[in-house]
Amino acid sequence: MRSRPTPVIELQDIHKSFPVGTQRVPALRGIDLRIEPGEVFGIIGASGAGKSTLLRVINLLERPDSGRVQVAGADLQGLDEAGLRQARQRIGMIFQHFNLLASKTVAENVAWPLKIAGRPEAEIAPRVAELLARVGLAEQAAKYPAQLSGGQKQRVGIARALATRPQVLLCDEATSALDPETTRGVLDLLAEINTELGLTIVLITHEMDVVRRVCDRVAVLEAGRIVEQGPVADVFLHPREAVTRRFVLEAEHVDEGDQLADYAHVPGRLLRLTFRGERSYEPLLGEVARRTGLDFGILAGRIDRIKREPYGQLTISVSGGDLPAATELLVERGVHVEVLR
Amino acid sequence: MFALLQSMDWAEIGLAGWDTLLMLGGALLFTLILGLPLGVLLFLFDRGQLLAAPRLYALLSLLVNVLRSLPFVILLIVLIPFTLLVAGTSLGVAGAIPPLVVGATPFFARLVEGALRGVDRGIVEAGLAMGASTRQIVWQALLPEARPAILSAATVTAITLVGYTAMSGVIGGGGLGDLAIRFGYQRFQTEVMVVTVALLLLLVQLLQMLGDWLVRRYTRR
Repeated sequence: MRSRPTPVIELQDIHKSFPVGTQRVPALRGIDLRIEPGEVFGIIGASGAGKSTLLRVINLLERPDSGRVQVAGADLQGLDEAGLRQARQRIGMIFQHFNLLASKTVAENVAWPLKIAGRPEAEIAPRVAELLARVGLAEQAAKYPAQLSGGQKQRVGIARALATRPQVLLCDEATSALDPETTRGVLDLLAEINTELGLTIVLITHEMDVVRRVCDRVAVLEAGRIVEQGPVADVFLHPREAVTRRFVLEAEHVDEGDQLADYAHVPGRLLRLTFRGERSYEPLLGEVARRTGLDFGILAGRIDRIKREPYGQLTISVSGGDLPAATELLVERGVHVEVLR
Repeated sequence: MFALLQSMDWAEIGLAGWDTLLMLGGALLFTLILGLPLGVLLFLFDRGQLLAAPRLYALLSLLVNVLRSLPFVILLIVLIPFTLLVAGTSLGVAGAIPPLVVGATPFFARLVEGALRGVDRGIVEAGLAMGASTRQIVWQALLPEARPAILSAATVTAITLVGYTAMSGVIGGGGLGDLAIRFGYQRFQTEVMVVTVALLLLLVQLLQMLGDWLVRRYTRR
């Protein structure tokens, strides 16, 4: 049993509501969250689920009505104005719409947090050059944001967020304004920063694909509550809640209802097999068929990766042969078997 | 036509032109110095902004509205005691500058408030997330981001001031507008009217061109 490290972010029973007219509408309803050092933690939810508010509670841009916020061992709510400003310098943040200063060059934008922190000019210039090189924008230092593409703007945002060497990076829908290819580039950069700097990353998104690519763990937020959380592979491959299933299916561009209706005329039983790790590449099905006399047809399937771990998920129809023996054999080999029909 | 232009008192016109420039320059300088901070405070005190203070905002806002609703000619007269106090005289160019400043400052402040509202809220949020103080956000982000809009506001204010200077004749302020009224209108010297109006038009054109050039120079979109 692995000992639990001290979390770098710990939220306890966070409640937050906003005034709408004469009433208060709850946005967060009792959130508990522990995020460990060095992990990439995803928070997924539909718009209005409260994920944006939740992310802003972590650096206290939104003050919760009740509950405790601890980041890197500091009790943020207990700090005075100056203390909170210093704590925020150790928490980087990037935004959906980048929020760069249009009137300043790329280099000046990246220098801004260092200026805020009161670093000497002699220290700022080399640090900015180093940061721009890291995000691959050394050539663009003298340009203005308007002259950059969306992906480049987000790279500037990332360089700016890293300037003060924060322990935590908060990502507010960082790729939602980008096209798929650019999104991949930005997510790869985030993953790289996470591994190389050991930085803890918290990202909010409405796309399961973003979670699948970079996150270690994920929490699913619905109507201000965390309804499901765990390692991404577990949540992605075996979603328990309806809302989670919707996000997973959306990522695979399929509709569960349609799918089962399509197979109505397929004879025999329907199984969903889930393989994880290197096993995904083994010729397991053939062996099972040979040894148990089972006939199978593949109806749907997908082999991909969750972060670095390969996985496969097949929907198959089976008939004849010894089904219980086949199931036992599959389970023995570490395949997760789900009977759909 | 040529004879007509020769017969005109160019020295008088030159003096009036100089007075207009002095009134404009002096009044604009103080208007910008006073109006910019007032505009920034209006912006910051508003609901949902960095220093949100609804009562203070309501008070400042009322003061600005009162000054803006008074016709300038009335302001000139009402302010005579105040002008005597700050300028030592209520006459001439020096006597015209205080009421011009009092008349234009609330106008400019409102335009500055609007210019700051035009800055993306995300910029303020980014600054807060980096641990910036309100002062740092104002100086290092809001004012640079709003600079083109503020320059444009200053241009509009300068041109409005040119219009106001024409009324300073009421207190013997002098200037081109005053000349146009006294000679062109009251003494039926149409050619003086035409020349002074042409000169005022030229001044407004030059101010607008200068303003547009400054706005372009600082726009990075």
